[in-house]
Amino acid sequence: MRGDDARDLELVERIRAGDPDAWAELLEPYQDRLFGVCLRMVGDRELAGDLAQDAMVRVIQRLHTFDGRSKLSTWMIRVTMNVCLSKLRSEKLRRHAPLESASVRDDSGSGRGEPTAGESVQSGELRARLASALLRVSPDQRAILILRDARGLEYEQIAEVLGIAVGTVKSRLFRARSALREAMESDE
Amino acid sequence: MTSERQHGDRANDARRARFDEGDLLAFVEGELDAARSAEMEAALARNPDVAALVEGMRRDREVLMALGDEAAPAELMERVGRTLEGERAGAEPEFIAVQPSVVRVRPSPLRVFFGSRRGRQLAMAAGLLLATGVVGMIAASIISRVPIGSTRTPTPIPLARGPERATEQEREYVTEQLEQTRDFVAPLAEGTARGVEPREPGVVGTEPMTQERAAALLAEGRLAVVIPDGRAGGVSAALARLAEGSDGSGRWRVRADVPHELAAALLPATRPTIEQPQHAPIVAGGESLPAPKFETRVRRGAEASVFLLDTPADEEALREALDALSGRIGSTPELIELDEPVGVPPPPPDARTVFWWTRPIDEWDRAVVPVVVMPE
Repeated sequence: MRGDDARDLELVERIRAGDPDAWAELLEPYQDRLFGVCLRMVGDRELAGDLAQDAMVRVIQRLHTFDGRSKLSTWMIRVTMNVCLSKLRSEKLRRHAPLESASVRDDSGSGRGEPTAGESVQSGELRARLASALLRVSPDQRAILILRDARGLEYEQIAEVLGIAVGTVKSRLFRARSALREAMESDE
Repeated sequence: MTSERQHGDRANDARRARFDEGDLLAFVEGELDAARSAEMEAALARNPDVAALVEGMRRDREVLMALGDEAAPAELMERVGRTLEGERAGAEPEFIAVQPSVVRVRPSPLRVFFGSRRGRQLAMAAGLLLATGVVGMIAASIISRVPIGSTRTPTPIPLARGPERATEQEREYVTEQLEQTRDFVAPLAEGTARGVEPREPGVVGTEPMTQERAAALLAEGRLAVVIPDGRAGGVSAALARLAEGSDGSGRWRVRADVPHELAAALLPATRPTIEQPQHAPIVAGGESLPAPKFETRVRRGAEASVFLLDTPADEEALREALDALSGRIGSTPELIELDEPVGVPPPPPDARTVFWWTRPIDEWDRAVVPVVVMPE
């Protein structure tokens, strides 16, 4: 993410040494990003807050397992994504589209075509449609799209977060893009 | 449905136009060099449908990249702090992680596990589960859904107390499990509908596979094994014997509890014969529920059959299991790639497996690979 690796590692050492305040210093700069991952994964602010809380606590609890081979930020996203996927798989939450996305879908059914690429970035409505479509692809596909596009991770980092080979990341990413397209088109 | 069909047609168009998925992805991601990119653009100009698909993917990517972060709830850090403080105060001892394979092969972590309070609770749960049959299985699965090292106020672990005292939560879980037995067939059917030219319904790919590739597919849940049976049911019989007895190594085993929808999807289109063992109905909250359907052995006549290879999800274990299988059944397994992941319900509990369910799903380190025995 940013060039804060040295600061992060210093804070990790302080937490390991028992400094009671260091955890907040470590997590605070990341809270929006981790919450953002959860929100995109589940589409519900309240649940995303719970999941982000679980993930952040888990990060601190399991800090002793962080071996420094990857960036701490990547490792945190891995923990967070595992929390989200575990929740989605266990409760099959994807079946229950949140109210937010349902209303987005309702609003979008006016038969208009897609804006051009230039217009799309500015279009809040298109963003809402895409966020809604994102919730209709499988959690694994959603995860890879969020990691790649919304979080801007490299293929190698995604492989690390999801625990899969780089080649698998690419094939899965293509399928995910294809599924998202299908979800968008079915919304038209 | 029409949209799905159109989408599948366009994916096929891409293949016919000799576009490699990797090329298309690289183009969407803007990773092709100028020369390759120009070639791709020229090719796309001749294939407007594929061009539209690719343009749509690029647009989706742009929008996703522009979504940005949303501010976390103001009280998030405070909630995290409260939870951490509560745990430091000893509200709940830290769970001692027990890997399923460790439980099997190394006694010392097991002793540590039983020495912990949580371990004793779970051991007691395991005893109850084994004693209470099917309802025990349901309760064990519910335990698996309780986050280990929970970050909120500790929730009492629901235990089976006997069929007559099953809770509403347990009843709901039974219903959910039954729904899930139907769910994993859908991705296979979708894969077929998208025009992937399956060798068998839902199965694609016939190229020889490297061990590395197999391991990657194993991790994704997209690996299947096909064993040619040149001995008129001999391989099926050998696997059935393996499924009933010990696998010998303690690391992998063959399971016969194949969901019949899965078997039906993997076997050729003719209707399979379902051999469903009789189960007592589940009595929950004073009502009878249907018996779980996932304890089903499926054969298609006397020709083809399906088993599950239950193995640690790593390359070495997979090789070990396949080598051992090959030696025991006298036939060489062929590895194939499934278009979509296949999920299976957890195995019924026994003394070895009940511990798997005490861990969150994302931490399971085992994989279940369908083994299809086909007549030669």
